[in-house]
Amino acid sequence: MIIRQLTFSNFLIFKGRQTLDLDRGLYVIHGETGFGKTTFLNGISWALLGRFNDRQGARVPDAVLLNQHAKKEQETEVLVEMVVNVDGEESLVRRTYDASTGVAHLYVRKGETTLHQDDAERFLRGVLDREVARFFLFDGEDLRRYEEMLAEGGEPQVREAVEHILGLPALMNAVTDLRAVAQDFRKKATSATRQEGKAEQAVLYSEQTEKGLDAAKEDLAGLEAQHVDQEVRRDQAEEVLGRDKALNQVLIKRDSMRSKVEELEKARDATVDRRQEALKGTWEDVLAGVVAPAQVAIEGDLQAAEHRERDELVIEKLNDSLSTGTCDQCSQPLHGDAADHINKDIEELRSGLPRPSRDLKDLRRIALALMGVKSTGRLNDAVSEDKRLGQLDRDIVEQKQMLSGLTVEAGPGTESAVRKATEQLENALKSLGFIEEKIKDAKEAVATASATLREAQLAVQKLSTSTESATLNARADTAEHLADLYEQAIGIFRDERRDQVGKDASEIFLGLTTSDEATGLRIDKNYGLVTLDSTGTPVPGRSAGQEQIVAFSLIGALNKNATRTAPVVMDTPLGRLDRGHRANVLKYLSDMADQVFLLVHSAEVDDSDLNEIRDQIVAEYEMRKEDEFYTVIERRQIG
Amino acid sequence: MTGTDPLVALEVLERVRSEYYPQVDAKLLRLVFELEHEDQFEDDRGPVCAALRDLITASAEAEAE
Repeated sequence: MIIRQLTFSNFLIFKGRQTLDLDRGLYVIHGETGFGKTTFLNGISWALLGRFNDRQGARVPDAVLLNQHAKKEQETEVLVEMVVNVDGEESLVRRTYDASTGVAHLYVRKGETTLHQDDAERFLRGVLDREVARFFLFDGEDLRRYEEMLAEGGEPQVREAVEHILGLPALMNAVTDLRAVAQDFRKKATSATRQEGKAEQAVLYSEQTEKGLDAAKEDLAGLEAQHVDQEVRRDQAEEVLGRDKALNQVLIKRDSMRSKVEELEKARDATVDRRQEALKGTWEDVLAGVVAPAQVAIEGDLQAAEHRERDELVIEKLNDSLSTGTCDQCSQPLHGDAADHINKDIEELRSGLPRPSRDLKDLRRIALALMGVKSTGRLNDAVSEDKRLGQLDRDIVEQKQMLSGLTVEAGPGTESAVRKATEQLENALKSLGFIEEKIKDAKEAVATASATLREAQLAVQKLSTSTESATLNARADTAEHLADLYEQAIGIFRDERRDQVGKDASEIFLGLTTSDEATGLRIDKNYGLVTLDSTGTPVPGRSAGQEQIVAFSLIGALNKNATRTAPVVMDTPLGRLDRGHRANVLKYLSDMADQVFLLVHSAEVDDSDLNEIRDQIVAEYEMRKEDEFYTVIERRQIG
Repeated sequence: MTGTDPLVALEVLERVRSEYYPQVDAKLLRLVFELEHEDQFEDDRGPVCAALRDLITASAEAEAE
């Protein structure tokens, strides 16, 4: 397929009607970041596939496609139109969306014939379906994803998509169709034997088995229909969530803020409890502060009282000595002036006796009581919990203010729609998983019933003598032989095409790489690609540049081997390449596909890069930004 | 010019036929392939199967004559 003319009308940033006349070859479209390069790519995707995703992989809903200026000017229609040449025949493809009705429409005129909507969609699937599109329409980010997928070992999803592009579905459909046709002939043969009035038991059993198979097929069809329903529900929900993405983000933020407020409130409650607990012991700290001087005073009094008690005891003993005339220490009679000395000692002791405020017993009781009053440190705890509480209160007020702002922003109506869609999406995804399991079981049941039926039909066939039955069985045999043949050919075809893709990718890679060590690529069964050194040994690890070159090589090889061709549209694909690799890729682009659109910004490719391939470029376009919502695509005059 | 002729698959089919299924008519094989290639994006396989039945019947009748 070649795009001969491309028109955007009020499609996102492309205000008004803007048309590019095109032909085979390489087109370079210049635009700085935010000028509309990705919109250009997405516009082509939307026209051909009816949808496109944002860089996060979410489907962009049609409802956001109308240009903002057009919206203000009361215009309602978004349009992307293409004149395409497919296998030599020109067709007009026009996809529109009316923002006032929310209705999208596809119009296809194939040659002179206007196609019905279903035929139009089928025509486009034949030109470029979703599975295949990823190898034709991609941005730099996609390239990065391919690189990850193409690492050694590849991935089954890549294999599936690649085999699609190489034409496997036609062969696979044939196997299923031919088996169904064979079964149909066998049923008719059994019916003919019944008419013949022979092999009644065998016919009866065969017909019962047929019913069993039909029931199994019906179950399978029912499950597949349920699967489609759930896919529709999933898509609807994704569309609502995509349309209200901004709102959804607000809601997510709000939910997170609500949780935060709840956490803060819990922390506050816990702090209040801890403060209360701390306050219970605080009186002891207060009392300890008050009691401390009294404790010191009582301690002094107590020491004095004890001192006095000791001295009074000594005085008493000395008085005893005086009254008995005997020394209380040695029990000898007192001689000479000993009594005078004792009297003097008694006098001295009496004069020096301390005078405590209370008697010793009282003082001991008071001291004991005061000893129980000790500081617990709870007061400090209570003060810090109080400070924490103050901070939490301030945080809660702040978060609640923000929360209230977000609640206003979210609004009450759409929130429920988003919640409903989220719930619907979750349910649909769950159901899809469940149904897929059941489909697997149902397929096994169909296979078992088919085998049983085949045996029953063979039994009928052996007993039948009618010519009609024999003829129908012979046709069934032919259909089965064809199905077996196709099945065998699929394996061979798959291997041969994979080898060819590997060889072509390797050849392209050698033309693109600047490495002297790499001698080629080796492909594995999932189309993973390994770089080989001069001895044919796999080289572990690749630089970012090499990874990108490998991805380009596979895309080039697939375009060479695809049974359907389409333009390659690449958005900002060269950003991570060094100058050498970039020059090689640029030189290769015109061989990559019959029509190539290279969307670049000035930091990615400059004039000196392009001067090397000027003779290969059919035309260059410039994206000029008039304002935030308006980009004009103009042809660039060279030289 | 990029792309590969879809008939490359028919070459493989023919090889398999001549080697393993010589009893299958080469012309019938080609007609089946053309039909399947043409209708590979058709969701409703009923009409495709009906066309296949007709092809097989016509081929058998032609052989009988």
